[in-house]
Amino acid sequence: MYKLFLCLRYLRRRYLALVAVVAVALCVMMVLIVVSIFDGFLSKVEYAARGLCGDIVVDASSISGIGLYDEFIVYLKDEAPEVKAATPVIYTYGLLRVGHQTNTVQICGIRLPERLAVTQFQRDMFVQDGWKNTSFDPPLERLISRTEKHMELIKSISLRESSKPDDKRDEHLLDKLYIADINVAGQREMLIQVSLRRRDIETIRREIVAEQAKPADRRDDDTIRKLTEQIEEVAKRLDRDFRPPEKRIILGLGLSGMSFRTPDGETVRRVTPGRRAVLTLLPLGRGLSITNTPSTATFTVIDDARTDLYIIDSNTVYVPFKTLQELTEMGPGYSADNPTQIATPARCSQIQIKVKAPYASDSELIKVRKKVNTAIKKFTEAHPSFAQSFSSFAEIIIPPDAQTWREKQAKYIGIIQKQRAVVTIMFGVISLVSVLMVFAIFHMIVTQKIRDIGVVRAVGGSAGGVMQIFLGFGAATALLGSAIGLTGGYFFVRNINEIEDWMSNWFGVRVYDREVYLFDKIPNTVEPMTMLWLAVGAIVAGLIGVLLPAIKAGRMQPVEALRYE
Amino acid sequence: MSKRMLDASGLHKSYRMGRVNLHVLRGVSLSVEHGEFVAVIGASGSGKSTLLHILGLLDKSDKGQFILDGNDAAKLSSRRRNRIRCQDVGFIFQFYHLLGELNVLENVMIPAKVNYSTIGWIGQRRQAKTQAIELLERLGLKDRLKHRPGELSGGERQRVAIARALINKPKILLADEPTGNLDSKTGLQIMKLLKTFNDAGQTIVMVTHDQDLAAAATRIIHLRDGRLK
Repeated sequence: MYKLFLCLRYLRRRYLALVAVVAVALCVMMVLIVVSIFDGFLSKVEYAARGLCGDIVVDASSISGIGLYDEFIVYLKDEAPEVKAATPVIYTYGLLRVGHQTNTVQICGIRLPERLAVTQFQRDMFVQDGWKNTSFDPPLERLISRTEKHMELIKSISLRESSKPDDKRDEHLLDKLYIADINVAGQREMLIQVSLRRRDIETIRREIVAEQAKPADRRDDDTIRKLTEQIEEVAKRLDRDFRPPEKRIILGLGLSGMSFRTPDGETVRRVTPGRRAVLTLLPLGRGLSITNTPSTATFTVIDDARTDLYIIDSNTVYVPFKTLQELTEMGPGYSADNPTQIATPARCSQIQIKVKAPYASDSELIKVRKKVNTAIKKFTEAHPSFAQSFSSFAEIIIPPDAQTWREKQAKYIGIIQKQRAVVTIMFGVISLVSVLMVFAIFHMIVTQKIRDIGVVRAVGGSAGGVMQIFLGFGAATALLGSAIGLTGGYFFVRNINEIEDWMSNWFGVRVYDREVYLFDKIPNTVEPMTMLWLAVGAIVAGLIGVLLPAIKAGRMQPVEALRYE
Repeated sequence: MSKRMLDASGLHKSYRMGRVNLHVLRGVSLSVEHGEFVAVIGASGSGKSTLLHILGLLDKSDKGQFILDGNDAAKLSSRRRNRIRCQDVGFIFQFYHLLGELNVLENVMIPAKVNYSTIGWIGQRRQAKTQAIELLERLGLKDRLKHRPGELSGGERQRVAIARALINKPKILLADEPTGNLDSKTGLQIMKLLKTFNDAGQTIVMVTHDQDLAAAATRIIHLRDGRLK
């Protein structure tokens, strides 16, 4: 009983121990903040990476792609009941021109809404986020309302910025906002024009119907002909200005020149739905040859998407699967003898697979991936055109390869994992300072308490008991330090964005530049397991620090302790 | 009560101080009966405190036999020695040796806390507290229960030390120059207290260099150059 009593009393009354408490608290807080922020970044990237390509990805073994993909998906669902959904995707590269801005882009041909069953593509879309029927043909009214809402955002940022005092106002930002406002206003105007033309077509169509409904003797066929020509004329103009669903494009939000981020992290778009975009690409579906001539097609921007992976968002655009298949000449190849007979099947570059929820863990996914690879082998044996290449080595059939999302995105995740490990080790080593501090402080405390040790021994306390007093004292110090550190670290991480804002306002320097970084906010989640491990680590570190002084105290002879001057 | 409280014969003890070997006790033999008040008088460095430490099982003799209340000190395990020190022996030191972080009541209760395990203490806490308060009341420290040692006079501190020594109702009280750090008036008061406890049956062995104080004891032994005279 005396051991617990004395170690708690020393903790309360030995103010020197508070220095050790503060040292432990600061180290725990520092490590918690670093680990939590890196964990936050890592889980965001993992979430984004998984959301990008589904759970399992089957990649073509050559640029010729994967044939019979729809048949394979049906076959796969029979072979692997764990598979919930799958969708083919085409990837190729090209040039995107929007206004005067040209970007080299990765073009991704997708099937909407099929892709939504496999990936989290819908998340963070500008127009269709939360929209049930995501497609390349969202309602015009929704496009207009989202554009108008964005104009309001631009106006509110402009107002906020221009109301700042002269010395704090960012004129460059105001200029950028002004240009964005003009662009977005123009695009909105175009959408409204499209809406009006559609209404015109509808009105003319009603007039035609009314005319056709008249008795034959009163019907004016000439009027009907004129109205029909009028509809065709308007529809032609409409198709030119606002391309049909198969010629619509979704842009990656990070494409150069399409948007920018304010210092407060708001995304301001320069390009909104309705804008014309021209894609130029080399059709590689029949293999790479000097006779390949580039394909060019004009698209209408219908939305933008954000995966949170900068490397994807900064260079990816999404177009309808069928359209890209045609542009890349990956569509079906017909027999020269019989133009109606398909000689080579249509192809895709990749098949993305979503598994059912109980099989989504990493270990289960590896099992499913093995099953998918077995299915690929079997299917290839039965249908060689599934994996057939159009290269000069066409007779060599290399089946496509399946990878889990983690394997596929290892290069993105690995970078952050390595950074996290390096920084954690670095801060862990720095935290050894707390062990040395605890050692030094407890050595001093034991030296100051030698008489007390003698008294405790004189009244019957054992050597082990004395040692336990100081070990308990050290553990209590570490426990208190880690509790303070964890509490401080938790609240720091939870409010890190507000703290960063406050520091920015106070000192005028942004530590986390939202214009540059991938995420608009610093991750602010704290994992309970991280806290638990840190508490355990701090207590072990405290015990290591106090061990030698405690042994010294325990080994002290009572007579020597009582005589100590 | 037929057994002797303590019986020491031929005790030797030497220390090494640097390169010099100090032979402090040179064959000390001593017996103390239950209820006796023995004063050991000797000059500074004569080995009084060393003898007291051996008698209180705080130290071991190099040679000789020492039996405390029927227990042969040489055969006692360290666990048993701790137990006897806790339950059967009470120490009073010249410099009080109170724990500065604890108040008067807590200082007095420390030996009682050592005496019980955590679970045992739950059952005994109230009784031990009552006993400590009673003891402090008897020693005139009723109003000082919550005071820290730094807030007390020398005499008061020594009275707290006496209460601490008595809390576990020890069979023997060992006092090492209990008045050595006090003025003569306060010293006399402390001696009166010790005499009172001895009159009530408490066995006391006190070492001192003051002949006048030793007069309060029932038997006086002189220690010179490590030998009893």
